[in-house]
Amino acid sequence: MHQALLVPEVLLEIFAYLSIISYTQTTSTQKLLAALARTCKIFHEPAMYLLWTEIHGLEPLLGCVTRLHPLIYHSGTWWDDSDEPWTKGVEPLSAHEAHQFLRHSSRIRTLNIKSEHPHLLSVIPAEACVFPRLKSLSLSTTYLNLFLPHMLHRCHLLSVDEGLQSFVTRCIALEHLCIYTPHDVHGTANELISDRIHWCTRVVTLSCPILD
Amino acid sequence: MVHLVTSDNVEFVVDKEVVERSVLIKNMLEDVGETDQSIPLANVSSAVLRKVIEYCEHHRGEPLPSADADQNQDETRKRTTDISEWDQKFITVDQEMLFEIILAANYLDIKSLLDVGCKTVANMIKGKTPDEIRRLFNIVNDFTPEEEAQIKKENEWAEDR
Repeated sequence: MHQALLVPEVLLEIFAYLSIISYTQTTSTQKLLAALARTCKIFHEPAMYLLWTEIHGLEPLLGCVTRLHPLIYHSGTWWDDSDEPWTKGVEPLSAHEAHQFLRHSSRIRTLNIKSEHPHLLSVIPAEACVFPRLKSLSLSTTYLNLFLPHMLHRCHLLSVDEGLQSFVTRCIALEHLCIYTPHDVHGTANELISDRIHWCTRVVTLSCPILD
Repeated sequence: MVHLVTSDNVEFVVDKEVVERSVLIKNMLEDVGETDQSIPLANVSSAVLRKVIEYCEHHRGEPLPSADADQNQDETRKRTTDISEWDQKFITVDQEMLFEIILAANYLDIKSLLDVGCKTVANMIKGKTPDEIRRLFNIVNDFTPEEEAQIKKENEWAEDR
């Protein structure tokens, strides 16, 4: 192997271009980065750093848990919104399994979650910083607020509930907040947003339903 | 004119405007001011420096990337994923020279040349399996079969479906 490939910043440059170039190729960016991650130990970390940058759903993290891996990848129903989610009847993570779940969470900078698996994560302490590098989040879950980093900059909320309180007090660096609701909000939800939004003192751009 | 001496002790005399495409040399010249003394480049051989100077000559006068662009490399990349025809021809060299140019561009801090080199390597990698990548770059697989299987398992979500 040429010594140029031993220089971390050179490897990151090459792999980052790979991400862009392969957008138009038949092989996906993720597949290429996954291939690089198991080519050799030198390639592993920079490839994983880019591969786990943006994640859609919690399944990739939950799939690192040995017990859940076959349920997620071999049930034929992963990532879909069927009435019979793969999580139905599944026991929460043990402390050891939580460690497996957390193996790659610190790499994630952009996260998009719509599914609900709150009971699986009950073992993870709320004070744990599960996603320390997270900068962008699309969220419709009611429990993940507890795991957010203080330095989150951008968030798209896909539902409004009491979790908004912990969200706005925890994410003090929030600069861009977008609250989506399927229809015009009325009553409690409207009051919740009106009441909590002033906690977001650093917000530069805000998109939300018309408030009272 | 600026005098450069390579690792194999060959002296090059190059236009200041040309050589200042290297941020490293530009900063050196700003620090020491006008001088007739040679600048030693202990990490660059004469064969590689010849190629680097050829590149800098061709791109003489073009605007250098700003400090802001350095801080926002992803944005810069998105605007410049293509390699120009001249650059493509320039970088059509054997693999040893390609990596030597990348190392020199990294050492001399010539961002645009580093970009051309890294894009070329990225193009060589695309669509390949781990085995093919290892063969391409003469890489030894230092994972145990168990380690490799574990990595594959954890990244299974990234496979095509």
